[in-house]
Amino acid sequence: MIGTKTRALVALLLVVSVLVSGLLVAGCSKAEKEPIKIGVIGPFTGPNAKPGGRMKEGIELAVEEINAKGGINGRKIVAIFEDDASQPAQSVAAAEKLTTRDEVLLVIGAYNSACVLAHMQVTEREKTPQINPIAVATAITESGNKYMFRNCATNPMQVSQLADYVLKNFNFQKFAMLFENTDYGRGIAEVFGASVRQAGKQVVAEEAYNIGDTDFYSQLTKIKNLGPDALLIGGNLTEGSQIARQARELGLNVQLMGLGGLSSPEFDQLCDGANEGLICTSYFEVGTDDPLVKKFVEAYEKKFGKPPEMFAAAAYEAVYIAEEAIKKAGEHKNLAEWRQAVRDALAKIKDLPGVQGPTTFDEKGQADKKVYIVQWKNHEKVILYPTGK
Amino acid sequence: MQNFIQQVMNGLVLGSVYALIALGLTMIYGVLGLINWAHGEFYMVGAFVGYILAVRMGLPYFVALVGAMLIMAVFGIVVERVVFLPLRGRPNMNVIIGTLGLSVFLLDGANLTMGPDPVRFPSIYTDQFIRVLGISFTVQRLLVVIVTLVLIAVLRLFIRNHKLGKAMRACSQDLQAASLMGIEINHVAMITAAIAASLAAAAGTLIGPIFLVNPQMSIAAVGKAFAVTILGGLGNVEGAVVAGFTLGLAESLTVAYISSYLKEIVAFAILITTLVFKPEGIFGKHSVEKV
Repeated sequence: MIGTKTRALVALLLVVSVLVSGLLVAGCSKAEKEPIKIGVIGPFTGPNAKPGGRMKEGIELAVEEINAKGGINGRKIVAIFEDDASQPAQSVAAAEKLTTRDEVLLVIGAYNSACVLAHMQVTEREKTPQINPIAVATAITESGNKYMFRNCATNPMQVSQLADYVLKNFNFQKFAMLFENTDYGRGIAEVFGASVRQAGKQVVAEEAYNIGDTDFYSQLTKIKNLGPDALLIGGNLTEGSQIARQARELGLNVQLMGLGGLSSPEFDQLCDGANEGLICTSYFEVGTDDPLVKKFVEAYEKKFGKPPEMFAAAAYEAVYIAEEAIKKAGEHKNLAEWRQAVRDALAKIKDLPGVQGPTTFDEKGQADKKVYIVQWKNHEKVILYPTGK
Repeated sequence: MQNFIQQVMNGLVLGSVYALIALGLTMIYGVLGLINWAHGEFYMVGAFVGYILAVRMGLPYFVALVGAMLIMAVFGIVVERVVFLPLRGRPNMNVIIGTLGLSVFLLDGANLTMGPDPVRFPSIYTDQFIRVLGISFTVQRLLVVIVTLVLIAVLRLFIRNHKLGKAMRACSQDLQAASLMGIEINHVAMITAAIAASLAAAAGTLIGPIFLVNPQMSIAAVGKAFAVTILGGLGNVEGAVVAGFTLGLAESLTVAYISSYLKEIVAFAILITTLVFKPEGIFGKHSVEKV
């Protein structure tokens, strides 16, 4: 039997020892400097868990590489991942936690434009700089948020690059467009159509379809009858692959063109040869001569056993952009001042090399990014632009 | 003219697709008085069974088609015993929740076992073309139309002349009276579910090669199937066939001569108009009979 006094004594001892050890730990970490915290928001579960996972891998690799070099200004960095499951509400909660409870220096994320549009008000309120590597809605950088930076090309940027390339290199007179009936698809058609008309060429068909549609014979028959030289597919790979295949079945043998999603290997598989000769944009290509890309691809394959794709590359690049800004911002005791300094350093970044090409932010925080123009040939992608780099 | 013929052909293919999927749905309602929310999933599972037989196991396409229909007939019987039977004669809400539950179960089951990404289901007929007078389509598409018409003819003969078919018609008129007349309702119910599921398998195996196969294909299919079923009159087999072709042609010609933006709008405007002016469907005779 233990008496009440002994119990109280034991309890007191426990409390004291906890306090002392707490102090000791705190003391230790002060001595060897706390790591710099970077918050990451992304869909690590839910419908976009797959690309979200790639994004996470890209960040893990960059963090590991930077820490292996000794960190930034002698301090290690640590990434704190928060899942938003592609839900705007959950992403707001994630941003609240990262900026106020974890007190991160900077936020990277997210994947869905709707999520970024929702939580960017939190990062702005907390005056925390944010780098958005993936979400492409134009409104994100057009909103006047001074803390938002984006290191990927927006939709209008990639569409007009594709249009410029095709108009410059081919003598097509008549263009047809078949696009999904969403903001995304209509945005593509608008920008592409404007470029074509500006060049004095004709848009002979503008046809729409709904996401999930499987039969495009009616639209394609109509397009075939109007006799275009080229057809732009303004949509994603599931519908895009069926459009490519059905166009060939109908004997519509014109130059096919598409955007980002149609550069993926899944698209090639689904097309089963119907994508031969299709020209599309691509955010990231594994097979370039760029030494930075080569090094990244090698390291990624070694760590994860598979080649990287665009989401991993974009997130990886975002960490390096953060590294540059934090390095330039220097040491600050006060978190608010530090965040402000990092934000100012981000705004000044100019021609910083990266795996998606050099980064320079404009006054709205949008990086002036070039996309690749590639062509499918025999199940491989041939890079048409930029050439000879 | 050539454009018109191509568009009519496109519409006929689309119409066969709709009719084939809707047939099973309307049969189950007609005979068992039960709206099967999982019918889109029957179609999807049927497509996957056909895919596994033809692509993974390398069986000849027609063997795979018949095989998928047989396997799905057994599947239909199991579903009838496990899900439909306990729901028979229950309030509508139970039926809706029960078949919706089955739908979610099958959809997530397919997501889990086959993965959510679409797959190609090539048949030897997808790469064979018929090109006459500037009109072009694959043999597979022609096959969809022909097999659909054959299946409809066989089904019609069966329902008209066969003893079991007559029993089915009796059940569809009055389940209780049919049972009093000595019709083995349990047999009729199982046969109906088996036919409906094997028609869905035929649809999946025929349509899979012209599009793609993935678990989500069920969701897109079921909306149109319901529209066709209602347009043709719930429980009316001939009505479903005519309604399927009507919808297919309407969509195709809308795209050709009006605008692709209006495709779904025209299709569903036809549906709403029918519901307002002839709520029992184009071919429905009596709608107040089931109280």
